[in-house]
Amino acid sequence: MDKNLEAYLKSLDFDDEDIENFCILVPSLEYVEYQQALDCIEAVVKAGYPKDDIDSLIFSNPGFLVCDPKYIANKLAALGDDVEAKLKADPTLI
Amino acid sequence: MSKLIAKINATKKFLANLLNITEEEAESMIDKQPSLINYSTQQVWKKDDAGNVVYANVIIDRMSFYRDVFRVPAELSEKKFFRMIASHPAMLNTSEETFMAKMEAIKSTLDLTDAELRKFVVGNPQVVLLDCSANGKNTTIAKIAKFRSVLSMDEILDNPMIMNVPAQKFTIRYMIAKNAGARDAFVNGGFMYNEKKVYARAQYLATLTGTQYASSEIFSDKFEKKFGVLDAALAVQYPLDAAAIASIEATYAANNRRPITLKPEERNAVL
Repeated sequence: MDKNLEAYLKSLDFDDEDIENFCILVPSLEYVEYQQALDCIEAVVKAGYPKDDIDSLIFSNPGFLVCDPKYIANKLAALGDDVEAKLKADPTLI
Repeated sequence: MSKLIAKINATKKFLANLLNITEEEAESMIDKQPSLINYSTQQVWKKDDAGNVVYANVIIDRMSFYRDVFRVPAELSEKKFFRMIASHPAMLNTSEETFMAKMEAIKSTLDLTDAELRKFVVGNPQVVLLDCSANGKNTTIAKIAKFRSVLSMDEILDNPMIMNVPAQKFTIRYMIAKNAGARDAFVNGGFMYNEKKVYARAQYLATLTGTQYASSEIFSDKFEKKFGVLDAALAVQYPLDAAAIASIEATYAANNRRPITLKPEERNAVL
């Protein structure tokens, strides 16, 4: 895994076992670049999801970190208002 | 390279048709699970052991397997079934034998009925895709054992997404919610909220006089707007530090039959 991405995930208090589980669920996390993952997080935060709660979103759906950030942005735009409430009710919307 | 691109495009079209999703959503599945492009997109005929002519396509076979497991469409609508698979492409990369072994492990350890097991897994397929043994602190069974100390099995089955709380953060989040009188709201989605934010909100609300509010509002996405505050500022004013944790533990102990003391790894995850 990109060392910077690993460091970032650890800064969110995920441990080695959590990160290993993320890679089981989403094998391409081993290869995604840190900047791409950050861009996906930025897309989510920009759409209205609170940055404070990003750890729960990652835990529920680590796959969004490897998507095309434009795809994330488009999916969230289609949700309309209340992105935070909708994503918390169903993190797999992205 | 052009062969690879052709393969990716063929897989996108195949998945989009199979799951009734857009090609962009199918591409997202491939982004998460690149090995999907290794599977054939052709619907080739073969004969099974009984001599019947059937499709020989791993993905279609697995979809058929999952249809049986989850009783589609009798118990699970086709729309929700497709959504489950599209959101968890790792399911298409898991053999039937492995999947059933994990289902059985969860069922027997938690003493679930078949219907309870299906409901649980449909609500959160990740629980079956990860390690289902009793080893390790973040495996499904180990986490349920932890959560069962304060939640009923019915609550877990009714809210399977609660399994996505990091194990070392569950207890503090639960205690803060319980102390604030918002236990039910915690179980029904409040567990997704950062503990520092929720603690600060609860402390702030406790200072309000003459204002009507429900305890569950500590989990509201409209909190900042309603109360005219910023979560970032509240977190500075009411930090979740060692003294705060001691206070949370003391308050919890005073109001519940069984006190809880955070384990060192739980404390470290917060401080």
